[in-house]
Amino acid sequence: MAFNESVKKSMEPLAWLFQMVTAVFMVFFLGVHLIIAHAYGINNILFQKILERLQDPWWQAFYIAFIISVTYHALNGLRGIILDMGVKRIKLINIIFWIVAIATIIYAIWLLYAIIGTSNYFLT
Amino acid sequence: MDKVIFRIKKGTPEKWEYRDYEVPVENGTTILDALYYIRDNIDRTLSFRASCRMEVCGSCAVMVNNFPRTACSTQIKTIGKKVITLEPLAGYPWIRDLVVDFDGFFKKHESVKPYLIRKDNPEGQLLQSPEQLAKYKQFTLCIKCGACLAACPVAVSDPFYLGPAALAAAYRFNADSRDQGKNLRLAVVSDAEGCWRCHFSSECSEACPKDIDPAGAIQKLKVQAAGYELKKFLHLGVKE
Amino acid sequence: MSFKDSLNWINIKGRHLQSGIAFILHRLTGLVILLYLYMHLTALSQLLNGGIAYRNFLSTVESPPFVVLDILLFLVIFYHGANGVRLVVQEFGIGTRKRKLFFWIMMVLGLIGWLILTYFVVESFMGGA
Ligand code: HEM
Ligand code: SF4
Ligand code: SF4
Ligand code: FES
Repeated sequence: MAFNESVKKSMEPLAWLFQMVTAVFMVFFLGVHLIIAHAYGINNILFQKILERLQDPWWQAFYIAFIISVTYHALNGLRGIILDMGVKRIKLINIIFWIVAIATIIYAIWLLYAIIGTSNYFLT
Repeated sequence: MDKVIFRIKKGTPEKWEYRDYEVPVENGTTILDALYYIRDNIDRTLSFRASCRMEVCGSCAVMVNNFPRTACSTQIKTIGKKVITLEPLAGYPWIRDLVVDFDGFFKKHESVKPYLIRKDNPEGQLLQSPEQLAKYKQFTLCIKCGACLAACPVAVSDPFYLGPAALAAAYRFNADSRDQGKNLRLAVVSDAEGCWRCHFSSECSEACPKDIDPAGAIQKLKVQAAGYELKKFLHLGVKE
Repeated sequence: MSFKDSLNWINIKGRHLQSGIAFILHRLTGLVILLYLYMHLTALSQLLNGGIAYRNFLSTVESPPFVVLDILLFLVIFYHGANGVRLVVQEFGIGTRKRKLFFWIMMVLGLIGWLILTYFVVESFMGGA
């Protein structure tokens, strides 16, 4: 019998671990986001206010981390829901997952910097 | 003596109907008593499985008002309903009346290698302290009734999912100090159709007549499997 | 098994509140927030069109019906978040037999969080209008 046979090559254990880690991150990210975007009323999300905030590299880092966490968490959750329905094409689903996740992350980060870029002519 | 109507899904997958049977019930009358009563007095054609009548053999689980229970250890009065619906276990291929096919269930069970695995061929006894025994003892109580699988929302949607009973059995042996086949078992349960399909809905633990908490075992298995994978990940290139 | 079986997880018959129902709700709320995430990303591209376009967008969204929808969305998020924190703890094998207690503790905490946020949202909406 092969005794040093190891766990089958599968990204499932790390996918689960990352789902749990992003869940914990999100309590912080989503918490902060909900407070600044909604609890202070409209004055806190005026165009000028948003652009000013986004000048700060800390806020940029915050949003990048938030984007990556939430995209992974939500799409991996969806991937799990699909796999839970007896779908056999796991490889295909994993490939689609990565394409959609990376596309979403790139688009969202591009959007972030495009918005920051508009401050050159909207902020004076 | 009270009377209770049993509404039983009767027939085969091709042709079936719900049929009502009136059964006299006393304190202590079990669902299995009712099934035998129906077969002896009302309908000789009623098919169901049972053997020990004492929650040991694991033959008699059926859906009682949409939730799986072992018929022999469920007293009718504790349900407190005048009409009780009995159906074959969910998530298993249905054969007829209350009988389902357990083949797939036992194949899944077998696949996790539910036996002690040793690298050596030890002579004499393998000793174990009470503390070591306590780590897995509750999971040895499983009677393979399959109720947990019928309760699991994932297992009834995904026929390939290993399911709570097999995963709890894998944990039972992985937690046994005498066993040396942990990684062999992790290779099976860490597959995409293994413990990662579980989302701790914990209906399996609600259903288990032996109260062994299969849901808890699966989560501990996840931690084992993820820890193993992470260790490999961090020691990139290190041979075991 | 057929495609019909694939959706059996959504069936609430015979399920327990702190177990199966909590699981179904966790899923459905997760899917709602996922949908909202993509709507949110689309809406944010309004910011690219400059202050005036964004102000028009804000004046639509900062109206009573949208604020009510927002508050309902917060309820969905707070359920998913509160139950999610419980799941993180329990999926690491902690307190799996105490799931009923953990569930209700998190529900109470989630509800309190939601009420506090709702108070601030309503107050700033009334005051800032
Ligand atoms: C507040 C912070 C959040 C926490 C603590 C949290 C927690 C969790 C946990 C622990 C799971 C895994 C359940 C399991 O499969 O075992 C999960 C699943 C999921 N989450 Fe979240 N989550 C949060 C925010 C979000 C957000 C913002 C989204 C969407 C944009 C989201 C979407 C999902 C989806 C779609 C699933 C899959 C549901 C399932 O498999 O049943 N979550 N969440
Ligand atoms: S805890 Fe896991 S195995 Fe048990 S019923 Fe829920 S999903 Fe199924
Ligand atoms: S774990 Fe419990 S419910 Fe599942 S087969 Fe064993 S005894 Fe039955
Ligand atoms: S008849 Fe043996 S467990 Fe019910």
